[in-house]
Amino acid sequence: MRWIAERVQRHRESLMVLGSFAASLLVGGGIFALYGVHPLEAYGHMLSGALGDTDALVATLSRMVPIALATLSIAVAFNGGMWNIGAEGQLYLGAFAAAWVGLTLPGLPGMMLLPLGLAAGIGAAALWAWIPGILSLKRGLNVVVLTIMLNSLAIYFTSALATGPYAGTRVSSGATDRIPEAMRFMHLSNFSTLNTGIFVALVAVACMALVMLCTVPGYDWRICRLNTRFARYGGVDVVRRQIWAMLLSGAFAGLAGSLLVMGDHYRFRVGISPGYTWTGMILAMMVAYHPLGGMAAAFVYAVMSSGALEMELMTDVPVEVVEIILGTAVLFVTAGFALSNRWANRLRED
Amino acid sequence: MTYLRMERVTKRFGSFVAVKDVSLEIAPGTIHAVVGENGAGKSTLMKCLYGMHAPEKGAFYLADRQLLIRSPRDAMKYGIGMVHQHFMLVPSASVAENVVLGDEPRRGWGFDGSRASREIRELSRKFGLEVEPDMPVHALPVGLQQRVEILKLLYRKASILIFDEPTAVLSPGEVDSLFAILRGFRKEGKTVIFIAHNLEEVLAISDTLSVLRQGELIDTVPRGEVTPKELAQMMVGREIALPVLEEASSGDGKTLLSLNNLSVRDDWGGWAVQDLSLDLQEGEIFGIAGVTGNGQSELEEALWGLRQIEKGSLLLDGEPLQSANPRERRKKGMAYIPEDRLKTGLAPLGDLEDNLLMGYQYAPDFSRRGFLRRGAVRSFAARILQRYGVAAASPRVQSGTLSGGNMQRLVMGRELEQNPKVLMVSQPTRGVDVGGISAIHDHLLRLRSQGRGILLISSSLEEILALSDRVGVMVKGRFVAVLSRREISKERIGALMLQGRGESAEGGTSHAMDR
Amino acid sequence: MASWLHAVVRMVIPLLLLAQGGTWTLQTGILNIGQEGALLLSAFFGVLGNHLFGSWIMGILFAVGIALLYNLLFGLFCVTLRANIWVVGMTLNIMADAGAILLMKSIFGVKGGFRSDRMVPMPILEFSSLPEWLAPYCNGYSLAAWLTLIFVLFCWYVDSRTVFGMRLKAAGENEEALEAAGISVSRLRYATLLVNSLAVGLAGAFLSTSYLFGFTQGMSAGRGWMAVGAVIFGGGSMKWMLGAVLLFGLAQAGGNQLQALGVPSYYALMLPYILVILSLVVRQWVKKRG
Repeated sequence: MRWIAERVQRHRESLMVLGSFAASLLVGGGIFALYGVHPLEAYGHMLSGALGDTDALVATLSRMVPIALATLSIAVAFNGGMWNIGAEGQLYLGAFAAAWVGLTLPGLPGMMLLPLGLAAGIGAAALWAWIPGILSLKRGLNVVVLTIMLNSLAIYFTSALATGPYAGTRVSSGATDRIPEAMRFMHLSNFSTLNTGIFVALVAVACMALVMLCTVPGYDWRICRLNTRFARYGGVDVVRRQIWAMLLSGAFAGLAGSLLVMGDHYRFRVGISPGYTWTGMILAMMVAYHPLGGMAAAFVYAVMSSGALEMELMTDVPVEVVEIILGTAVLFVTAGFALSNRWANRLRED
Repeated sequence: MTYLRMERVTKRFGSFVAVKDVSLEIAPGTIHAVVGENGAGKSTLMKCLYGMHAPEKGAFYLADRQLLIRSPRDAMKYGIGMVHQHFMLVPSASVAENVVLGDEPRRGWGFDGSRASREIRELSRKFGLEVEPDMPVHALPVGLQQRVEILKLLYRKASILIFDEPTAVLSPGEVDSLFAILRGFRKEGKTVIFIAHNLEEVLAISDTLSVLRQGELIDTVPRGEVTPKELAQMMVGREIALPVLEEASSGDGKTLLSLNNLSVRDDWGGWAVQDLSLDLQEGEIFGIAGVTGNGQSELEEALWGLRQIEKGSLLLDGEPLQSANPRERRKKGMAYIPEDRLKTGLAPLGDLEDNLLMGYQYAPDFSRRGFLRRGAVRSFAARILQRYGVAAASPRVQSGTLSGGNMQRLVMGRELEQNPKVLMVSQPTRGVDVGGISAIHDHLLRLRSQGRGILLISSSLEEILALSDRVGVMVKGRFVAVLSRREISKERIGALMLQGRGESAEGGTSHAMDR
Repeated sequence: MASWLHAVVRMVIPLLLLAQGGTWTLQTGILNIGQEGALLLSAFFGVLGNHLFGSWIMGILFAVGIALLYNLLFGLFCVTLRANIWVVGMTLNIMADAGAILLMKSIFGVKGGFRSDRMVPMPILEFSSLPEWLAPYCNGYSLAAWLTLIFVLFCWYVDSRTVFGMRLKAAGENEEALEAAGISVSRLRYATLLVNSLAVGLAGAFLSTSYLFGFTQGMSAGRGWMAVGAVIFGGGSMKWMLGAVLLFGLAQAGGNQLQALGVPSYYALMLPYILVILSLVVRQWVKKRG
C-alpha cells in the first residue's frame, strides 16, 4: 500500500499529465458525440489517417518536425521561467534569414551554404529572443507583451520583404524565389515534404533534452522556475541562466524556421508557419515542459492533426477539434497542479 | 460592559502546538497585558479570539454568552477588534477612506466622502487620536498610521481592543502618546488587551498581566503584586539553567568573520543597519538577539550577498567579501540558513533531491564537465536525510509537503554538509517541534566544538541564552549591548529583557542595568 | 479633418473597450491575457446572432454572452483555482482561435470567412438638429462609438466616485486590507471580469458587424494584444491607459493612411507595434528614473 503511494508521489507529474490527456480525450469524445459521431470511430479515423500506410506515416513525421522543434523552443524558455510568447516571430525571422543567405549568396558551395543558412536562421531568431529577454531582465519590462509585439513586427517585416524587395519572380505573390539547390535538404518521399533535415532536428532535440535533464544548467533552469529567490540564494546566476534560456528558445524556433525553408518548401513564403509555435506552446504546457514528454506530445499531435484530415473528410468534424482537445488537456494539467499545490499547502499551515 | 473569558483554547499547526489548553479571564474596563517570549503563543491565542485562526479546542465567552467567531468580521460584531503588528493600509487612500473601507457611508450610488471625513474627525477628537482624515496614509509617520488602524476599530464600535506588539514600531515619544490613548480607552470603559514582550512598557501601562510560555498559561497577576524579576523568570522558565558550554577546543581566538561599521539600507531608502561591528571568532556562537524588524533580515541579506553593503566592510579570514555573490561566499566557506524556509531556503514545489543539490551542483563531486552525476546526488541526498533525521517517504516527494521541523532539518543538513567555516543561521527553530529543536541545537553545538564560527540570529531569548558565547542585542539596526556569556547571569537576563527601546549606546551594559 | 477623426474613432473603439475592461481587472491584480481570443470569439458570435435573428441587437447579445462564458472560465482557473495566468490565458487564446474556425465550419459550412445577407449592420447615428459646423464631427459614428463613450464615462464615474471603485483601487494596492475588512477579493475580481465581458462583447460585435462586415479567420488581428499593452502601460490608472489607447489608435489610423499613400501594407501595419514597444520602454525608463 505504501509502495503504491510512494510510486504515485514520485511520478506525480507524469501521472497528472497522462490523466489530463485521458480526460481531454473524453472531452473530445463528448464533442464528437455532439456531432453525432461515435468517439471511437472519430479517433479511429484519426489513427488510420495518420498511420494507416507509409504515405500517411511519412506525412505525419513531416508534420512532426516543426512541431517538435517549436515545442522544445517553448519548453526551454518556460522551463527556465521565461515566458517567451514570441517564438512565432522568431521562427519567421529565422526562416527568412536562412532564405536570405541562399538568395544573396547563390554561388557558394553547398558545404558552406547549408551551415551558413542554418546559422543565419538560428542566429537571427536567437537575437530576436535576446532583445525582449534582456529588456525584461535588466529593465523590468513585461516579457509577454514585448514578445507579442515583436512577434507581429517580425511577421510583418518578413512578409514585407517577401512581397517587396525579395519577392519571387514567376511565383504567386507572397513568396521568394527558390533557394539554390546546394542548400536544400533532400525530400525523402514524393508525397510529402519530409526531408533529411529531420536528422538535424533529431540531433538538436537530443542534445537539448540531454542538457535540460542531465546537466547543471538544466538543474539551474528548473530551480529558477520553481523558486527564483531560492535560486538566487543558492548562488545561481539567475540573469545569465534566463538569458540563455531565451537565446536557446529563439534558436530552436529559428531552427524550425530554417528547416521549413531549407527542407520543406525551399523558399520563404508569407504564412510559412500556420501557428506551429502556438501548438508548441500548448504541448509544452501540457507536459510541464519536460523535453522528452514534449517529443511524445509532438508525436501525438502530429498523429492527431495529420489524421484529423481524414477524420474531417469522413465525419465532417472539423480538424480544429484537435486544438480544442489538447487545450482542454492543458487546462486540466494546470488546474491539477494548482489544486495539488493548494492541497499540499493546506497540510501545513505555517 | 464586557467580561471576556477564554476556555481551554488549543491551536495546532501541523504537529506543532502553538497554544496549549489556555484558559484566561479578562475583566472589563482594564488594560490586560499578555506577555511572553517570541513564539510563546500570545499572538496566536489572540488571533483565535479575533477569528483569524480556528482553534482545535476551546471556546470564548462574553458575559457568559458563548461567541461564534469564524472570521474577523464575526469578532467585530461582538465588539472585538485587533490592531496588528503589520498594518493593513491602502497607501494612496486617505485616512478616512482607509478607516471606513468595508463599511463605507454612501449617498445613493456614490461614496459619501465628506460624511466619512466628518465622522472620522469627530471620532479622532473624542478619543484623542488626532489625525487629519483627508491625508493620504502613505504620508503619515508610523505612529499616526497606527492611529488609523485604531480608528478602524473605534469606527466599528469596538469595546474590546487587542493590540499586537503595538510598540515594536514606535519611537519612545510615540509610545507615550499611545499609552495616553490607551488610558483614555480605559476611562471610557473599553477593555484593552496588550500583547507584548517588552516588560518595561508592559509594567508601565497594564492593570493585569498574563504570562504565556511555550503555549501554556503560566499565571495571571495584578500589576501591583509582581516584580519585574519575577515576571522575567516566569517568561523564561523557573530554572534558567544555563547549560555549561565547554570552552571551544581550538580557541586561540582567531577571528573568522569580521563586520566593520556595516550600514545597509532597507527597502524604503532608510537605514536598516547602522554602523554595526562585530568579530566572530573560532569556536564561538555569537547570538544576535532582538525583536524581528530591527534590521536582522537586512543584515542577513547583506552578509549573504543578496543586498548591498552601503558602508563598511566584511572580511572572512581577512579577505574582503562584500562584493562577492552567494556562490563565491559559499566557496570561501560561508553558509546561510535563512529564516524563511519556504520563500528562500527551499523550492517547495521541487522534490527533496532538487532541494538538497542546491549549492553543490558546481562541485566536482556532483558534476563532471557540466553533467550531473545522478548516482552521487542520490546517495548524497539519502545520506543527508538519514543523518539529519528528515522524515520523508522518499527523496522524490515535494519538499513543501514536509512538516516545518523536517523542512528545517533538510535545510540544515544541506548547509551543514558544506562544512562551512562560518555559519549564519536565522530563526532556526521557529515552528519546529521540541525534538527538532534539541536536535538543531545539538548540531550547532557540534559545529562550535569543531572550531567553526556561528552567527545565530533569533528572536527567542531562550535559544540565544542556551547557545551563545556572546550576545549582541540589536535594536533599530545597531547593537545596544554586547555581552559575553560570563556577563549573562540570571540577573542580567531580566535586565536584558528590560533593554532600552532604541537609544543606542556605546557600552550598553550599564545602560541596560539602569532600569 | 472630420474623416480623419472618424477613422481614428473606428480604430479606437475596440481598443478602448478592451483596455478599459482590462484596466479594472488589472486593478484587482489579474492581468487578463485572454483578450485576443475573447475578442475573436465575440466577433464570431456577433455575426452568428446577427445572422440567425437578422438583428444587430441579437448580435451584441450573443457576443456578450460568449465573452461572459469565456471570462468565467478564465476566472474559474485563475481566480478560484489560482492557476498560472499566462498558461491559462494563452491556452484560451489558442482554443478560441481554433474554436471560432471550428464553429464557422460546422455552423456555416465555410472556411475562411463568412458573411450573410441576413445580417443587419449596426446603425450609424445621425443627429439632425446640429449646427452646420458641428455636424461633420458628431455625425456618422456607429452606435458602438456612443456606447463606448457612455461606457468609459460610466467607468470613470465608478472609478472616482463610488465605493466599488475605491475598493478596486485598494485591491490593487493591498489585498490584505480588503480581506481584513471582510470584503472578498475574489468577488471583486469576478465582478471586473463581468464588466470586461460586456466591453469585449461589444467590441467583438462592433468589429464584425460595423467596422468590418462578417467574420474572417483571425480578424482580431492583434487588437487584443495591443489592448493588453495599453493596460500594462496604464498600470491601473485610467488616464495613462486612455493616453496609450489614443496613441495606438492614432498609429493604426496613421498606418492605414500610409497604406493609402502607397507605403507597402506590411510596413504600415508595423507602425502601431513599434509604438507600443517604444512607449513601454520609455515608460519603464521614466519609472526607473523617477
